[in-house]
Amino acid sequence: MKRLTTDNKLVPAHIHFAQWFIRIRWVALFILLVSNYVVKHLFNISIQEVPIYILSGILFALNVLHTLILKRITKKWSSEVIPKIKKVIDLQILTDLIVLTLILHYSGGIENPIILFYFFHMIIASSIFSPLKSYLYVVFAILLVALLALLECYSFIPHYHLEGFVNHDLYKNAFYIFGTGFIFICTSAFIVSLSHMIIYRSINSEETYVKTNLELENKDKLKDEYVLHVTHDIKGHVAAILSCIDVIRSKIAGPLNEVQEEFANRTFERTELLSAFVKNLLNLIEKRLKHDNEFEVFLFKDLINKVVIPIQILARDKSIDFNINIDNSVHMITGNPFTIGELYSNLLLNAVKYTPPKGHVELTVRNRYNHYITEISDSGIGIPKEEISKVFDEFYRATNVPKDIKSGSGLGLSIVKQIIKNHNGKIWVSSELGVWTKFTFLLPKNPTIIL
Amino acid sequence: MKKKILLIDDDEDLLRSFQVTLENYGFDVITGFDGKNGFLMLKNDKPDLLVLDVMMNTNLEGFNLLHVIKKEPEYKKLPIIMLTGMRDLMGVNLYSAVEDESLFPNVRFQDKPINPHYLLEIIEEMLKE
Repeated sequence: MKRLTTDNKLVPAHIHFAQWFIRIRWVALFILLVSNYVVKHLFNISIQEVPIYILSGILFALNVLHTLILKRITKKWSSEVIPKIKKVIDLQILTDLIVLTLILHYSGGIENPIILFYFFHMIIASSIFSPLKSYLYVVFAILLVALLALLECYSFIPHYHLEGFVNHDLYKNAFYIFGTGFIFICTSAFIVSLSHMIIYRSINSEETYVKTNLELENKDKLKDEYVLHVTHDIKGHVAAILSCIDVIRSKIAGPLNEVQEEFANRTFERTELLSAFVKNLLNLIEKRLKHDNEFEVFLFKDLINKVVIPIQILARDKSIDFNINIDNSVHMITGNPFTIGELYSNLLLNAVKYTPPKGHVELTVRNRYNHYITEISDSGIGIPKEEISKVFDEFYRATNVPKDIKSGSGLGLSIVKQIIKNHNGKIWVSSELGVWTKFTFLLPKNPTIIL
Repeated sequence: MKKKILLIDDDEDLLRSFQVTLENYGFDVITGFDGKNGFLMLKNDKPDLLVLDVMMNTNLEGFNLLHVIKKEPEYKKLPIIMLTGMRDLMGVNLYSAVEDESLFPNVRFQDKPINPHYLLEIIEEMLKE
């Protein structure tokens, strides 16, 4: 059974099942009307046409009722939806069985092979409900049929014989009734047992699956919030350390000898790195906690021009040639300006960081139908072939990074990947070790339109 | 005349480092460790500027104190620097709330961690206004 996702939650099979049940009833109704007419007028078999039309009308009204009830229940998702749907299916099966028995009464009773349709409902019941309940339905069905057959057999109610179809006296033949009745009961038991084993298990496990999914989502949220608080505390401690060491380093409290100064500086620098690391970690977690991204329409070109300014300064300090090529037709984009800015910052900073002096870095942004394509390439240390697929992993650092390149947090690229994902974009990287690296990514002009 | 600065933060280490730096540059510094205590000091010692931490014992203690202070007309002009470790606290964007000049005149928001010397620069800037 196909699973739909609405708002990231799974729609359980029960809803599909109830809808399918209603749909198939429309089909059955149509066939009932047609065969009622055909049997009476084309084959001239003495079926009780009028009562059956009336029963069809009742069935029609019932199916409309079922549709309305189902619509009302499925309007809002809550944990009570599944039990409510089960009740709806209960109603459908019960009313179906009663209407079926009545139709049978007006079309020959046990002479009519429609009697097989009871099995259909038994299979449905044993697919959705517990063994006990499905056997109860079986008993109910058997009682209805038995009641019909016996009441007609012993003339408590009239028998509407199917003239031209089957032997007259079958309905009065006690042997036939009890014989077929016994087989009917055995078959019912087997059917229920079988369908229960196969179908019920699978639908039930879906119910558990959906429940477990919700629980996991909640637990994950709690864990994220806990980590958020812990990281915030860590940030606080780091901030205090930085502040205190800076008091010593700045010599306000008095002069320092060479060794004291050296270690004060070492402490300060290491703590600054730690601070940046924690900041990035916090950002990553915050992003994962936010399920909806605030998008707005803004001037893409302006944002990029603003972001490149500090990069240009860095590149100039390092004697790196930084080229910027933005298509003139690059105009508006729908997205989150802060995170897109961060995206470009991260990638450009990386490019400058991993390129030795006198190298070059190039930024190209092109307008392509529904997307903007950006390429950021550098003539830096490159990425080993085997590691290219891993660079976007959290905390990953390629093995060819020399020790003198000041280490960052290792989170930059995983943040980049997350931002691209949030904007329904795509990113990939190619590189030649020791020669060049190029990051290419697509950003849809409007990620809210599903292409 | 020496300008007086009131620092309110529950982090003692941070408080001391700010205090030493600011005193070295010629300010008179008094410190408070929570909202209640800080408010008392504000009333009694009448500082020229307030540096206030947003998250203290409780999540928005500093922010609530800011509300209380700015309600009173005598403190409308008092320069206040809000320090926060978390920019986006619990889904509420405090920056946009605080930058409302009509609600909170003369208040600036600053991210933590902050270099004490940078804090000094901001303080001098605000005192000049």
